[in-house]
Amino acid sequence: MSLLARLMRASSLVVAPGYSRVRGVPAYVTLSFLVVTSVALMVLPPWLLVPLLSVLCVLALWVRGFRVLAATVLLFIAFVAPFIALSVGAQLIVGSFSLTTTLTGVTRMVGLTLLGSVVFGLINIHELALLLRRVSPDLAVSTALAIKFFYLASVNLSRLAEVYSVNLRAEGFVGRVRRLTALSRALTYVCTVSALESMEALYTRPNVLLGGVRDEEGGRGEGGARPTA
Amino acid sequence: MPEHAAIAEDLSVSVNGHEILSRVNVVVPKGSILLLSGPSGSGKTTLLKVVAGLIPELYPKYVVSGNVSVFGLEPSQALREGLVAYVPQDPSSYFLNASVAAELLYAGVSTASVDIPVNKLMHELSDGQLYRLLLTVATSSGAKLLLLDEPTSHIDPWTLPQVMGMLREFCTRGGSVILVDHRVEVMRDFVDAHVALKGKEWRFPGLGSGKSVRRDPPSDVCVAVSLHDVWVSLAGFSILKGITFEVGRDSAFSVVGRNGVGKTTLLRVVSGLLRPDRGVVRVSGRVFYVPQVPVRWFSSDTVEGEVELFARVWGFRGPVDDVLEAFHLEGVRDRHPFTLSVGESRRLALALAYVSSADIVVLDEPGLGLDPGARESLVDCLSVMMDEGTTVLTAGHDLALAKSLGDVCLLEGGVLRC
Repeated sequence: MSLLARLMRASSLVVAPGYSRVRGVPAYVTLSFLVVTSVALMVLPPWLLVPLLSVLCVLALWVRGFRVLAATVLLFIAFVAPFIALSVGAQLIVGSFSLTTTLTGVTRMVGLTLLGSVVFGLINIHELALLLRRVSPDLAVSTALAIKFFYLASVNLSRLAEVYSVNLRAEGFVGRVRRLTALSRALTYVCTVSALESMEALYTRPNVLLGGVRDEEGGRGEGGARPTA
Repeated sequence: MPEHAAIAEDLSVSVNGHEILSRVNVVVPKGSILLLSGPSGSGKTTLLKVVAGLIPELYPKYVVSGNVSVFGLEPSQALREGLVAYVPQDPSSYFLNASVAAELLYAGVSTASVDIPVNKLMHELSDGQLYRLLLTVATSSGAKLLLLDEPTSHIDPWTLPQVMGMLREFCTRGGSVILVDHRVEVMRDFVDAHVALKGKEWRFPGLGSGKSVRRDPPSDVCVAVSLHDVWVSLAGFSILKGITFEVGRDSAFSVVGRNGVGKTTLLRVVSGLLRPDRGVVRVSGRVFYVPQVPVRWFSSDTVEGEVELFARVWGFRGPVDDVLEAFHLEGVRDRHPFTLSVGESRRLALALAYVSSADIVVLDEPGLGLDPGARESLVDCLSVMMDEGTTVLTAGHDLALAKSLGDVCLLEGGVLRC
C-alpha cells in the first residue's frame, strides 16, 4: 500500500464522525468542550499546558481507543511535525531560537490535534444538524456535509491512491508528478460526486434537518400536507 | 387516503433538449415491491429521483411533464413530510455518521438487534452489511416509500433472500418499495410488479474485427499469478487461510463468495496492495486493478483524454481512435468519464488496461450494475483480451458471469474450494 493510502486510512479513522467508545454525548456539550478547550490551549500559560495536554491524552485514549490515538499521532508526525522542523530550522538560521517558545508552540499544536480527534469521535452529525438548524437550515446542511466530507475525502483519497499506485505506477520524477496530478484531479471529481450524492440523500432525510420542527408541528403525516391538484 | 404509494402518468423528463424519459406510466400500490428494470441510460435513476422529489427541486434544468404523486402529494411535499427515503447507488452516501453505532443510535435502533458489527466504520463494512444497515435505518426513519437504486447488485445471492425478506416485512407494515435492478430473472420471485423501461440496448462489436492494437506480444511465461499458502489477517480476524492457486497466461480465474468473505482482500494481495502475513505471492507481469468502488476513478475531462493519458504514460503507439472504437466508446469520447453509465465506465477501465499493456487485469465485482447487454459486452471484451495474452482475475458473487469467463472457485470461511 502506498504511503499516501496508508496516511489517508489513518486519517479516515481520526476524522470519522461518531466513531468512538463513548456514545450519546449531546452535541451542545461537545461544541462547548471544543470552544472552551481551544481557548484554553491558546491562552493558558506554558506551565498549565502540560496538565491540560495530559488530560487530553487520557481523554483521547478513553474516547477513541488506542487504534485511533495511534492514527492521530501518525497524522501529527506526517503533516505537522515537518512544519515544526522547518520552523526550528528557520529559527536556528536567523539565530533567534527559543526552546521555551518552540516547546510551548508544539504543546499547543499537539493539544489541538488531540482535541480535534476527541471532538470528531464525540460528534453526532444528526444531533449537530438539529442544533444548528435553529440558527439556519443552510448552516445545518453545510456543516453536516462538511463534517461528513472530512471522512469521505479521506476514504476516497485512500482508495484512489491505491488504484493509481497500481495502474499508473510510472517511474521517475515526471512520472510521479503526472500520477499525483491525475490523482488530484480524480479526487476532485470523486469528491464532487460524493458530495452531490450525500446532499441528495440528506435532502431525503428530513428527520435529520426538520426533526425538531416536525415534532413542534405535531408529527409526521398527511394532515398538514397539500394534496396534488 | 390514496390507494397507491406512487403514481406517474405520462411522465416525460428531459435535460438540455435530451429526452431521458418519454410518457412513462408507473403505479406502485401500497404494500408492494415494484421492480424497475431497463438497459443502462434508460432513465431508471431519473425516474427514482423524480418520485423522490429531487428532480426538478435540486436540478432545475430538468424539464418534467406529466403527473406524479406520492401518497396523493407532490413528490417534494411527500419528501418534506418524511414519507420517502431515496438511497443512491453508493449506499454509503445515505449515512451521515461514519460509525455504525452512531448511526444506529440516532435511528433509535438497538445495537443488539442487528447482526452487523457496530464498532466498525461504514467503509469497513461489506456491501451486504452496509445494505442491511441501510434498510434498518431507512425503515426505522418512518419513511413509507423506499426508493432503492441498484440495491441487489451489492448483495450476494445467499444474502439476497434475507434482504428481500426485510423489504417484504417493511411492506407488510404498510410500506412500499421501488427498486431498480437489471437482474429481472433473479428478482422476479421477490417482487410484486415489474416495469421495464425501454432504452437503446446495444451489443459489443468485439475486438476481433481488425481492431487489434495491442502493443506488445504476449510473454512466454505460462503461469501469470501464483499464490501458495497465503494467510491474511485484518484487525485480528483471519480473512484468508492458506489460499493456494495458479492462473495461467491467457486465462481467467474467478473467485465467488458471500459479501465480506475476503474476495477483495484476495484481489488486493494479488495487486500488491496488501502484504500477506505469510505465504508466497508470485505475479508475472504488470497488474491493472479495476476496483469495485469507486466505479469511476478517472482523472480527465473526456473519455478520449483519459485513454490518451494512459497511452502517453505507458508508451502506447497505436491509434487511440481504434481503441475507442474497439471498446465501443467512440460514441462517448467527448463525454466526461463521471457521466458514463457503470457499463461504460467498466469498458473505459478495460480500455485503459489495454493501452497500458497490462499483463494481468484484476476486476473486483465485474458484474456490478451491468445490464444484460453490458455484461455480454464485458465478457466479449475480456475474452478477446485473454486471446491476446492478458490474464484475468475477478472476484464477485455473480456465478454465471464468473463461469462464462473461465475457472471458478468458491471462497468460504477464508478457504478456497474449487
